Amino acid sequence: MTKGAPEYLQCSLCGLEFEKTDTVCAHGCPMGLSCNHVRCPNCNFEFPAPSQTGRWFGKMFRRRHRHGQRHQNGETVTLDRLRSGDRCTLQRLGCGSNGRKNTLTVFGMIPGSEMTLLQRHPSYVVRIGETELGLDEEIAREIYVKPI
Amino acid sequence: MKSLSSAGFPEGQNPDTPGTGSASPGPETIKEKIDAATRTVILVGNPNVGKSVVFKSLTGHHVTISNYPGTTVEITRARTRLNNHKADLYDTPGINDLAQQSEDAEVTRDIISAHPDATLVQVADAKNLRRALLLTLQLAELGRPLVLVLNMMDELKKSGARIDVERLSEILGIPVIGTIATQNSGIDNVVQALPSARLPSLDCLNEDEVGEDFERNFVRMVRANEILAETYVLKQPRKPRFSVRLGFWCMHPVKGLIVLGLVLVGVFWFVGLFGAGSLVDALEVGLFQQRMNPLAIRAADAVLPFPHAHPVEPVQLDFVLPVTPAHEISIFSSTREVIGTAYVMESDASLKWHQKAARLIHDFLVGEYGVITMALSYSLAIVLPIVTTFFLMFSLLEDSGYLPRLSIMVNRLFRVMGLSGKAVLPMVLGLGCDTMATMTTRILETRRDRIITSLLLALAIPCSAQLGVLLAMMAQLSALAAVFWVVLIIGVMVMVGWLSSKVFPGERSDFILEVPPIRAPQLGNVVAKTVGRLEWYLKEVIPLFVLGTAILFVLDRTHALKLIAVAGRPLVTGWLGLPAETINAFLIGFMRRDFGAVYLLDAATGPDAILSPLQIFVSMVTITLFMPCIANLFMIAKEHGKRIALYMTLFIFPFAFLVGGIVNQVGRALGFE
Repeated sequence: MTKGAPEYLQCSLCGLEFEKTDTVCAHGCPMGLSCNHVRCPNCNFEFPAPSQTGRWFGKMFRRRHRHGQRHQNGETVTLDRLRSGDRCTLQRLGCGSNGRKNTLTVFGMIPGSEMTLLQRHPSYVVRIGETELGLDEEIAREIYVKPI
Repeated sequence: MKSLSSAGFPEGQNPDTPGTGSASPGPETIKEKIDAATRTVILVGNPNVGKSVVFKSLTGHHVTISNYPGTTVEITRARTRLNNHKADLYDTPGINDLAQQSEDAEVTRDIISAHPDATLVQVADAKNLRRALLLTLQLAELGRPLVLVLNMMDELKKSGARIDVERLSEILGIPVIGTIATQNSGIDNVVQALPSARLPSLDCLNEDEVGEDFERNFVRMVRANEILAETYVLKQPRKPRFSVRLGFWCMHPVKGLIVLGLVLVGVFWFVGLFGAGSLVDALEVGLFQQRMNPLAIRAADAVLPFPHAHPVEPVQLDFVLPVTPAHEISIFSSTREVIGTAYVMESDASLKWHQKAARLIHDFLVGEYGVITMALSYSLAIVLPIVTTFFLMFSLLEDSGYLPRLSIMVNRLFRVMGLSGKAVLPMVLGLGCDTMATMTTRILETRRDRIITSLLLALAIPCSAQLGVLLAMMAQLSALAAVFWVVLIIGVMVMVGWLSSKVFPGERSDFILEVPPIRAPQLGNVVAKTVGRLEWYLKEVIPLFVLGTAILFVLDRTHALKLIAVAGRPLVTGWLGLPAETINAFLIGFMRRDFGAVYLLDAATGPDAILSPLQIFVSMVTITLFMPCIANLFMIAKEHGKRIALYMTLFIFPFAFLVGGIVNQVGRALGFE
């Protein structure tokens, strides 16, 4: 967050988005300078403004949004870009060896087949039809899919 | 019926007859000829679909059945009677792709081409028809009479899906039979359908349609999807069942660790405390020391008389139910006054030659290093209960479908060692028996992976026999030392794995592993499998124990032990800092490391213990890193060649002494002595 740029906060009670400078803290608050609470201009709910360390800890527990982007329908990405729970259709198998492509084909991975990414850690698990497959990240990166 | 170009039809079968699901009795001559074709039956199918169970139901033979892909690594053949004919049945390894360049597919192709008159029975997982159909299409291209068995119909029903069996039979042109092999339901229908096996009436791939394997499979898969669309109705149940959720918990990055922890605690309690504690006590003290040994000694004394007397000592048996390593519930205890192996004699000089001979044989059979009093009581009273409890646990785990999930959990760790997560399956089995596990390395795809896994098994995975002895030794040390031992051994394993993955050229095998559903293990199956493994283990192990004891006895009597002790003194006393008496432990450890560990245990415990805590720790580490046993060496030579086996031996033993010595030197420098 660069200095001077307006910092937007979202009230955790009413959901209003407001600039940090719009906080309506009462003057003469006894909590003093070290207070990091902000007050929502809409509902007067007070909550701690997110700090750098808070965000870092939060990130550890948040569901990982890889590269922070949601994928629009119709955009071809590799399987490792998806979030767990995402459904997609297979577009093509990438540049791996023919043996690897064959193994994946035999398990039902052919262009057009629908699959679900079940989990990403500790290894990738996809469901394709009735088969659940555990995969390396390295292999997931070679599977091109279109999210649904 | 356009493209069965590669093979002709068997005589007597009319290619124009559209195949139907029901057996249509033809003219007698034709029927006889088709019956003749049922005399060899080959079971083919995807991995983990229940081929072995079907095979067992058809023949009554026991085959090892598990809930992970790749159990059948060798062809099983059984002779039985089907439809009043003698029939040869072959069980083949599970394959997903008949054309694949893998050992399993090759073995299956060979067996099919070696029996041109055989009827093929494809066993399929009804829940996973798509992949079964790919194989059906490949088998159809061979132009052989075929029966499709849809196994696990109960699981299909539970999953909410439905298969139109009649329509499927119509499309494929072959008999299609639904079975639940674990409950033996539908097997009779399979036997009855064998004579009506016929050539699939499918549009197959042309021989001349060339292309890469995966392109050909792609065409087949598209066709399989078409068939699937006509015959298969999938209804997803609204709420995932408990077993499905449990399956996910086992692979979850956090919950999976909790499940793993629970599994470890359960296995430790059952094998480490109950098996290695209570059961070993009951057998070793209750059976051998209190009953068998005195009996054997008296019998030996009666047959081989020489003037001596065995003093009578009280031997106490406490049978307890362990709760934690430190707490236990006493169930019963009994004390008997019995004679032991020790005896007193007036003077050696007064013995005549025949009495000397009698004494020698007496000592060989029931002496301190006697075949009965040591080898048998050790292998039956100490090793057997531990191995039994471990194999029982392992069978439960493998049938439940937990092990593939475990390999998903540890895949990243195994990547450091240059292996894929699949290698965890042999490693876990290695905790039971390393020799058996070396055989199981075949489930790994590349030779490099198989060799590295075999090396790590031989080096760092203690088998259950040895674990039992090590646990007893560990009882002499603090809990911290036990933790340190585990960390050290895992550290050595990861380091050696990492180094060997750098040294060995070649690609790591891909981690593409099918995850089977979580299932409640079938008790009968678990017991049968445990007994099967035990049978193999005992046949392999007891002769080795007897041989080992005999060699030790000879070395002891010819004073060769002392000579070797002098030669090995600098290594053992200087570098490892152990008393010279432990040399015979390491010597016998060359043959079986757990047997060597028994000698160390003798030196570490009892009233005349000669080892200090640091010495116990050093000797534990050294003997853990030894090669498991001669049988394991033979197995490595059989699987990977004599040269690899030689290299491994030349690496493992010096390396074990190296690590043991480093621990000793560091321990001394830190002032543990």
